[in-house]
Amino acid sequence: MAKSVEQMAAELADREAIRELPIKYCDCVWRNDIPGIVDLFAADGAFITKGRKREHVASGRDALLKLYGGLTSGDITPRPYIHNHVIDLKGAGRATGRCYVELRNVKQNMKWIGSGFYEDDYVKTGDTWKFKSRTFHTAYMEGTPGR
Amino acid sequence: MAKSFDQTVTELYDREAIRELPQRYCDCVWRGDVAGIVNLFAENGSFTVVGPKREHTTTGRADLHKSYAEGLASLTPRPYIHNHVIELKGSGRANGRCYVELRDASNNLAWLGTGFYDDEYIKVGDDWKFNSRRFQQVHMEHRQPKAVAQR
Repeated sequence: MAKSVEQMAAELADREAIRELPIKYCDCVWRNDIPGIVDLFAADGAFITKGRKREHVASGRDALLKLYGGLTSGDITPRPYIHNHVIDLKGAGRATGRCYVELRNVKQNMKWIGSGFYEDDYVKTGDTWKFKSRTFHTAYMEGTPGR
Repeated sequence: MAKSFDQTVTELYDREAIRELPQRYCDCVWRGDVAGIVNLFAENGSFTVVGPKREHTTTGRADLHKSYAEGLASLTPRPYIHNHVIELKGSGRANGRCYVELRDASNNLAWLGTGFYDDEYIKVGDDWKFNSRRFQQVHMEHRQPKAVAQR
């Protein structure tokens, strides 16, 4: 059955709000706005890093603040560019998506240092969409941010 | 005459669905999802590669599946899409252009090249599909196919 105009408008608004999450995430990383990054997550939101050998999970506001607080402490201060964001609305205030990132390093004259992708779960909290979880998969990386 | 609210929302909805096609195409290429790529095309959809000296067209889902399976097995491109412009033509038709950068998963994601797609879109039922894609290479690094490079 064809969607009503109201349904289409609601879906467009949801998709626009979700599309903005990874963009705001990159914007906050660029500006070292750590509380801004963490505010994009739900209260129990999680960031998961999947490497070839191990996985690291930071879950909840305190753990995320600690994780992102170390973002610029290592040899890499990342500057991300986001691409190819696909979104699947699941209904009932849930959605999933995937987007791809390239990273450059401030500490190496913005040298290109790697790429990968995020698998995201989104949740609508009140009127606002948030990351329920972000899982970062490294495709290739020269070094590790924050280490 | 100004568009009605319904017309405006419908156009936005169409543009959103069309905008997603090249994004999903890249997502499928990254994941090696050949069936997913082919499903983005209409049944008789076509893909054309325009090179400096010649062009090659593949038409229809069966041949597209074969072509993408072979292409993604020998090359390992990782695309990033940019600058997508869309023109709605009415009657379930649209066209657009978008620009791509490619990196090479077989070579530490080294930069592989760039170009652009001239796309024709068609609405099939409730879904927008590629009716045709023409990929115009602008610059491509010379590299041997994966099977040769690994020797």
